[in-house]
Amino acid sequence: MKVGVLKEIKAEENRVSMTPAGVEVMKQNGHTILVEKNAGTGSGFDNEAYVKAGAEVVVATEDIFNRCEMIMRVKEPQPSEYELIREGQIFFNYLHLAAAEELAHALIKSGSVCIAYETIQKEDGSLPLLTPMSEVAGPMAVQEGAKYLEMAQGGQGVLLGGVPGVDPGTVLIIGGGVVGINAARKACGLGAKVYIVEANLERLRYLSDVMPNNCFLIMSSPAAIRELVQIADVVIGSVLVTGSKTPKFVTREMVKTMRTGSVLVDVAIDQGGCFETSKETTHSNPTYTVDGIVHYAVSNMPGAVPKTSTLALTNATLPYVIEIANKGWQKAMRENSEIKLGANVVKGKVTYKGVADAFGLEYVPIDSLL
Amino acid sequence: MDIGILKEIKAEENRVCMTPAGVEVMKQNGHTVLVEKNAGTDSGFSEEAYINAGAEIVDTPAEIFSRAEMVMHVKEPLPAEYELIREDQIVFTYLHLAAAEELTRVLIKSGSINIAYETIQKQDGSLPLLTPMSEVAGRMAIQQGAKYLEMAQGGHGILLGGVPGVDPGSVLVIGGGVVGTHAAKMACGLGAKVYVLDMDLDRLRYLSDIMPSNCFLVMASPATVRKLVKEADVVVGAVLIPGAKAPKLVTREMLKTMKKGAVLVDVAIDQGGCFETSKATTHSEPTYVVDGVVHYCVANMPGAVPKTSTMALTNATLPYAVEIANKGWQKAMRENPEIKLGANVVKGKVTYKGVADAFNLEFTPIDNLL
Repeated sequence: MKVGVLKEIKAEENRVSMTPAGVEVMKQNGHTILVEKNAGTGSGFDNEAYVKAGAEVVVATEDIFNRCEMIMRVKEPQPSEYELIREGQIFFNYLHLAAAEELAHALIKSGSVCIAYETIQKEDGSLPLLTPMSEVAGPMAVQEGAKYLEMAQGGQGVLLGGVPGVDPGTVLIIGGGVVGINAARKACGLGAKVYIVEANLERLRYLSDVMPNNCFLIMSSPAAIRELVQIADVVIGSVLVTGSKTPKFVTREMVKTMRTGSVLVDVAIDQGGCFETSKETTHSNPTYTVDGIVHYAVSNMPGAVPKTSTLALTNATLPYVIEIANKGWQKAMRENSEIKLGANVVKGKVTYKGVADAFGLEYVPIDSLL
Repeated sequence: MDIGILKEIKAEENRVCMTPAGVEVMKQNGHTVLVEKNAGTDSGFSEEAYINAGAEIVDTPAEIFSRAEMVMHVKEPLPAEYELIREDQIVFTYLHLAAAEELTRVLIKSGSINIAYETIQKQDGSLPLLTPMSEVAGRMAIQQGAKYLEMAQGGHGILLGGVPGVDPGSVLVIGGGVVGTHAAKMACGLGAKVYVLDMDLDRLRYLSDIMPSNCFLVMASPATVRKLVKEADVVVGAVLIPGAKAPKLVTREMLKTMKKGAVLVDVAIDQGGCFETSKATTHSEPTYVVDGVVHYCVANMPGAVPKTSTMALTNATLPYAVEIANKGWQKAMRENPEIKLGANVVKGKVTYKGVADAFNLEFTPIDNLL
C-alpha cells in the first residue's frame, strides 16, 4: 500500500505521525512511504533520515493526497485540505469529530475511510492511542506545577520537594488514571507529599500496591476535594470521561479557599477542563491567575515535548498502521475489533455513535460496511 | 540582647533572615526582637505572625540600626545602609566581602562586628550556612532543566523522564557535592539517566552507596566531561571551590559538540560559573542561547522559592544567632570555632585572611581581639 505521512500544519504542533524507524518497518512489510518535506523536523528527524529509511520525500501536500491510499497525520485535517481528500482514501489520525461538526460534514462528503486514533479501544476499555499522550501529559503537569510555584512565575515561592528540614509541598491529583498515576510517580520522585483522589476503589487498591509511601490514596468525593485543595500547593486535574465533557471537580468557591500562589494544572482542558475557573491557554502564554491561584491550562501539553511525544505516539500507532496497510481497512476491521472501533466516518456514513448523536446524523453500524 | 531583623532591599530578594518561629525561640532565650515592617511578607509571614511570636514591628531600618545590638539580614548591607551601621554593632548576614571592596572598607570604617554566614565552617570543612541554599539550588536546577527542554522554551522538546517505550533524557551533573547530590536525587526521581562526575573517589563511593540505580558515578576529568556533554540533554554545573572562582569545566569547544536544544544550568554562576559561555541572568530573564544550547544562569536561584529558602536558611542560622545573642560575640567565638571562622571584619580590623588578601589589607587574627 502507498502510505503518505503529512507534515502537521496546526499551530504549536511539532509532532510527526511516523518516524524513520517506522518507515523502515513499513518498507519491510512491502509498503511505499511518501513523507512530506520537513514533516519530521520539529521532532528531530530530518529529510535525510527518512530517505535513508526508504521513504520518498515529497514537496507538495497535494502529491501525497493524490498518490496515497492511506494518509497519516497527528492532528485532524485543516480546511485547506478538505478538498484534497479522495473517495476511498484511508485517513488515520486524531479526529475528535464529536466536537468538530464542519470537519465531520467534510469527511462525510469526501467518501473517505476515517479511522480515529482516539476511539481505537481495547477490550478492557483502555484507549491505546490516547495512553501515550496521557503518559507525557502526567509528568509534564508536575514539572509545570513545580516551575509555576516559583515566585517570578506568579507562584508562592516554594520548592515542591522541600529540602532537609523544610516541609515539602503538597500535590493533589484528581483522578488516578494514566495521567494521574504518571503525574504522581514524578511528584513522589521529587519528594512531595502526593494525594490521589479517585472514585474507583479497585484502582485505589492497585495504586496503593504500586506507588511509593509518599503517595496517599483517597476515595474521591466533593468533601475530600474541598478539604484537600486547601492544603495543596499544586492541584492536577487529570479526570477523563471518554467522549464527554469533564465534570467540574474544583469549583470557584473551592478556589477561593486555596493558598494564594498555589498552582492549578488542568490536564483535562481538551475536554473542557475539570476546574470551574479553567480556560484554555497556549504554550506561548501558558498561565493566568484567578483569585491569586495560578492556572496552567495548555491544551495539547505533549506538543511542548514533540520528540518524546512523537516517539511515544508512534510506538503505539505503528502496529495498527501496519495491520491496516497489510490487510486493507475492511479485513483489518473484521479481524481486529480494536481497529473497528476506530471507524468514525466511512464512505459517507457516520459509523461512530457518539459522532452521529452529537450532530443528529444517521448512525450506520460499521459491520454493515465490512 | 536587642536583635533587629531587617527587610531585604536587594532586587528579587524575597527571603527574610528570621521567621516568627525563630522570634519565639529568641524570646524564650530572653532577647528582644525588632522586625522591620513587611520584612517577612514575601516569604509568607505577616506582621501579625511576628507580633504573636513576640516581636516588635519597627517602621524604618534606621530605627533598627540605632536600637539593636545585633542586626540580621540575608544579603549584605547596601549603600543606603552604610551610614547606619554603628560601632560595636554585630552584623550577621551573607557578606561575600572578597568580591566587594567598597563594602569591606565601609565595614572597616564602621567599627562593627561583621560575622559572615558564608565563612562559618565546621571542623569537617563543611559550610553549614551555605549548605541549605545549595540544597535548594541543586533541587531547583532539575526543574529548570526539565522546563527549558520544552520546545516553546527553546529546548529540543523532550520530556526528561521519558515515558514507557521512550528513552528518558540524560542529565550530567558536574560536581558531586551538596548541589550535585540534590540535583541528582531529583533527576533520578523523575526517571532520567543521571551521571554525576566528581574528582573525589571516596565521595563517588559514598554516592554509589546512597543513590538510586539510575545514577551513574563517573570520575571527573576533561575527557569524561568532553564525552558526556555530547549525549546530555541537561548539564548541571555544580562545582564550588570555596572563596575561589569556579573552574571552566565545559569549554566553548565542548559546547559545539552538544545536542541543539540541550540545556545548561550553571549553579556555580555566583562564583563566575563553570561553563565558559555562562553569564549571570535574572529570574525575570532567566535564559539565553549560545550555539543552540539554552543557558540558565540565574544568580541567587533560591530567591525564586523564598518560602522554602527562608525556612531552610533560618533552620541553619538560628542556632548560631541564639548562641551569639546568649553569649555575646566574644564568648561565642571563643567557645565555638565555627562562629569564630565567621568573623570577617571586627572593630576596624580585617579578620578573615581571604578578604585581607583580596584587597591587600592588613590581616589581624581574630584571636587577638577575643
